[in-house]
Amino acid sequence: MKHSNDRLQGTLDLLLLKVIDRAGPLHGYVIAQRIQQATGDYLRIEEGSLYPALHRMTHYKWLKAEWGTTESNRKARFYRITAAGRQQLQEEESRWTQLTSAVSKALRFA
Amino acid sequence: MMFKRFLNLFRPQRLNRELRDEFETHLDAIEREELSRGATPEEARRKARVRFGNPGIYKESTRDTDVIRWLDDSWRDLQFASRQLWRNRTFAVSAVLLLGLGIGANAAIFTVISSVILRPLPLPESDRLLSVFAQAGKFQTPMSWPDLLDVQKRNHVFESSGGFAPATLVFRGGQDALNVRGANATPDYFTTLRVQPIVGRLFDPSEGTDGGNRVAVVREDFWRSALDADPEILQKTILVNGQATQVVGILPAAFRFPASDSVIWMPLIPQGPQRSRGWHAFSMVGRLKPSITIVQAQADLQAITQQLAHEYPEQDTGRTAKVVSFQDWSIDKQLRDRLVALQIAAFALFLMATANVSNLLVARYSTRRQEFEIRKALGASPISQLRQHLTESLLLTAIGCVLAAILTLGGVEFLIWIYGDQMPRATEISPDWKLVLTIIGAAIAGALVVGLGTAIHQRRKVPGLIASTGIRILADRTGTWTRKILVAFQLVCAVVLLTTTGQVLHQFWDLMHVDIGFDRTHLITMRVSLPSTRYTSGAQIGQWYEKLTSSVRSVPGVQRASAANMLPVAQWGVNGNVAVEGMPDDHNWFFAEYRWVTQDYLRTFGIPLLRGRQFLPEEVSGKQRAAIINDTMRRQLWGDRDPIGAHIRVMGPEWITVVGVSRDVRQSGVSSSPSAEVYLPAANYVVAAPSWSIVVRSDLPAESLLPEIRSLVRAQEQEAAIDRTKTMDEVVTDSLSQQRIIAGLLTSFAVLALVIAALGLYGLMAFSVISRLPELAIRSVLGSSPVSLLRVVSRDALRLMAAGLTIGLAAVIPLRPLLARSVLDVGRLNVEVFFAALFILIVVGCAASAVPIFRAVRIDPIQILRRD
Repeated sequence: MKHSNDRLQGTLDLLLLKVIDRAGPLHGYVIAQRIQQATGDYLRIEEGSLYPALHRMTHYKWLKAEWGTTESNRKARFYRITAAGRQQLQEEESRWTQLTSAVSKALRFA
Repeated sequence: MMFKRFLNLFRPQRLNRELRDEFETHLDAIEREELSRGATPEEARRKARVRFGNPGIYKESTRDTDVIRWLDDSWRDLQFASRQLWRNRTFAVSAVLLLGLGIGANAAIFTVISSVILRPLPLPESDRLLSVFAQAGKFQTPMSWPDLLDVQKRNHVFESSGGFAPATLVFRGGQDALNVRGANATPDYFTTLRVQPIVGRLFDPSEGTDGGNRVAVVREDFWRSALDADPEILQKTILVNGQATQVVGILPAAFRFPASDSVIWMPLIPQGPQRSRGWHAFSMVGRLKPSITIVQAQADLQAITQQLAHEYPEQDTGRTAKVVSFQDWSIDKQLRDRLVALQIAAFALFLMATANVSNLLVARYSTRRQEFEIRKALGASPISQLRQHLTESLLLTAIGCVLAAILTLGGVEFLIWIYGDQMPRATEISPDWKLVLTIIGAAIAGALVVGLGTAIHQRRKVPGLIASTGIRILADRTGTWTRKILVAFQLVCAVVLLTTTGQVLHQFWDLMHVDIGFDRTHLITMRVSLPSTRYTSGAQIGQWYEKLTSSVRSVPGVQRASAANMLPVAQWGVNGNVAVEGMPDDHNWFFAEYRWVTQDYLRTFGIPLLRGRQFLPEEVSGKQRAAIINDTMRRQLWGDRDPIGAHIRVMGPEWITVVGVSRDVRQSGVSSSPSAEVYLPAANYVVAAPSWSIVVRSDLPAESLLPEIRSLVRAQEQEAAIDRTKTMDEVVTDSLSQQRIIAGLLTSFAVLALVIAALGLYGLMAFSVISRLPELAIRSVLGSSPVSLLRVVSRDALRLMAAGLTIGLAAVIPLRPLLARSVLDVGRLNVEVFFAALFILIVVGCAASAVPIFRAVRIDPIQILRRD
């Protein structure tokens, strides 16, 4: 089920997995918030991509979702990373590091 | 997880609710954030909505990842298809009915055919079993006892063989004696068939020759019903033919040989004249040695019978042995032919039904073109449209198949009910699910083809034309050719079915009104059977019935009474050679039916005497030998000469004087033309079969005479069994019940075929007129007269009918021999009936197309043109 915007989607997955791994279980709004804060408002996650991505990764069993209540006492789905998700995260992270270092090398020396 | 995802298919509401909850929490959080930044509550809510975007789209895309999309779509297609069908209930119901009837009727008939005809007999290695009988000219008869023994001894092809003869036995359980069917069989009959008793044993070799020890084998269901499932039955005796008989074994209920109603078997020990070479009453079954073929067996047996004819020229000249597989022998040929005829008719009906459903589908897609164009314009992919087509066809077929399965079960029950008595293997009938599944598979494949076909039609059209402009001036001719061919095909099938049914009905009508040769009104008949152990000589039996009928004549209300060993129309089969004194040798073995009758027989039946006289008292008493022959025999043997006073020899050495010639009677059934017959006085009876029929002519109803006749019979013999009390009218009617049933079934098939063809034609014409209304309106405005409009629209219908009928006629001609063999006993086609059937078709066809055509002529052109 690979899409044409593979790389971008991969990046979104990477960010979501990283946030959930570090601070999980989190619900959708908090995940979007944290990414936005961590990047100093530079990256804003669209809700339109957020939920499909979360559900997709739940499918791949990288995430596990369960119902809970938020601090404001509302029903929400909390996402937690699984072992498979953690492995995926490692792969994505190393791939990202390789890519960025390759890109910066190219920018510096080409 | 997978399962949950699958469940999501069926509970979209729940999934949607969950997503909504999740989204609302999110919205709520954004709202809070905006509030904390100092926005007013309304502003916060608005901003939250703006930031969040359209939840519907998120839902869709989230859902797409959440469920297996294809399955979901199929479910949606299915829902859509059911809605479509529900909206067009008339279409859906007629399509389902047509498919269900077509498939159901075929599956039911084929189930019966495969169970009773095609499936091997339920006996071990039944393919090696052969039935042997004698062939004398065009007649097939059982064998004589000495011939049977000689064939058994001399043949090189059978590893074992046995003799048997079906028999009617008088069984006395409680107060009343009962007639039951059974057989006399040699001990090797059972070993040849390789049947094992459930309890006890079968016959010992010694019981095949020694008549002293009376033993019997009964069938399990008889043991349960008539013998109360007595567990000690093997230690007891039962009363058969008036004698205590030891039950030595019980055979399984599935063993139904030689007939389905055979329940008691007794050792076959021929007595007296039955042991002569001229007495043909014994059947033979043989089991081939492993490497021998049926052709080799036929050759071997033929050689033996030629030898026998050489050794015993007087009795065996002109007789040869003929073998057929035991399976073929055990099938009623007429029944098989009738089932095949029904199958052909049902198949034609099935083809028509399928053609009609296809037609309905094509028509529906044509009328829904606009819908499809709009959907295409809104972005439906060709694949999704195709899927839509297929789903609808499949849904229809599926419902039709459910109906078909129900009809199959019902139809099989119905056929068993009708033909059960004639099918030795009726108990083996079970729906052949493999076959039903095959038919259903074929139907589904058909649905796919039709669905695909129409979808391809759609693809060929210029897209967007109709949807964008709404112009419908041009007639939409999509699928017109397909539809025309389908309707023509239905007409072809209808011609075949209708003309065939017409022939059958005509023949049936003839049979109903055929002159059977006697006055069948006011005649009451019943069968009276005597215990065969105490009535062993023919003369004794004949005199018993002579005495009985003379006392019955004295019953008040009885005008005339008589008895005969065989009832006209219903029974036949005692026959043999007739030799005539002074005739050349080649007439030496003339074949005739023998009937032994008590006094007054011809007068009781009202059979006129054409020449000579009735039997005199001394002839009735048997002291002087006399015979009355029928007109057919006179014509065949004497031609123009007078047979009165001639001497003939029948079953014995004495010369018998011909004293009278009677009118021909349809003795061997209403549908068979009279054969040569000899009437002999009861006192000269030679067969040891004590089961005769009494005939009483009276204006009173049977019920008022019966008690007195019954007491007369009982007074003369306590052990006598009385059954089959019927009027002669009923006997004649019952003898036609098979023809009536097949005529009825075929008629209903033909009516159905007519309705289907008419519907097809009507549908096509209605559709063509509606789609041409604008064109017709323009023609009318431009000055076409109603007559020319009529010509324009009816041209199509007439051409179609002409084509369908012509091809139909062409199809009937090659099918004729097949139909003649399987349906028509007489085998000749009646031209008037043929054209009457055609005429009916033409009238119905014209009526069906007239309604839409006249609608076309009466149009108001202005209104129609305004509408577009």
